[in-house]
Amino acid sequence: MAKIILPLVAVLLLVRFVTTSSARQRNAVLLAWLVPGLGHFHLGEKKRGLWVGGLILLTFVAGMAIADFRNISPFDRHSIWGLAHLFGGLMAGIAALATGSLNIYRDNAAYHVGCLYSGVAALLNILAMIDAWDLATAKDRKETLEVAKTDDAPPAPTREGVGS
Amino acid sequence: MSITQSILLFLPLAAVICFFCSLLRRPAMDDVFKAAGKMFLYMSGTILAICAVLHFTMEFLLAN
Repeated sequence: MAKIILPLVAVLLLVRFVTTSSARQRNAVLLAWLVPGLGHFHLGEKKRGLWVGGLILLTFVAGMAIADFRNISPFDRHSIWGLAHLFGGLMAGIAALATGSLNIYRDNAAYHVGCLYSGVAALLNILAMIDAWDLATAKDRKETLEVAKTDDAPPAPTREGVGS
Repeated sequence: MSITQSILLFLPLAAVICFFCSLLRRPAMDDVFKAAGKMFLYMSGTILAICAVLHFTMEFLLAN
């Protein structure tokens, strides 16, 4: 049942997001999903983007290192973490392609801690995506207010108006 | 894996999550984050100290 309901809810949310958001919001969220921090870069928040992206990437790679680079393998090893890694975008995709075929040959006591690190890093990217969306909304609102102000302003005097 | 090792592995992750949240803060939420940061520091420090004392006490007792 959950296998039908969860994708259905995800699709409905996606459709709602696409139909109710502005182009700036969509681009920021999509870029933030693809590469952590890129959405902030796109919005001109370069310092914040660097911190956010760097921290997520560092946590993700630290998790992989703790788990001997064998924890990113969506749906065949750990389906629940695979679900979390979906939010890692290209970072998780490249890691899965690069390390998915490696075999587990030794018992690593910290393996699940590594899974937690990488999973949390991918989930933190959801917060980064929400933040990018929020910043894009603020920029949209600011632009709308500026346009409204220029519309309300009295027209500039023309040459004819000054002369008469 | 000992308790101390577990804590040493989990604390950086907790710190990353706290730092990440502080990065995404808004000015209106500063007071909340300050309070949460202080609480995190006190709690993690206390837990770490208790675990370290327990760990070294057990090691001492087992060695003697």
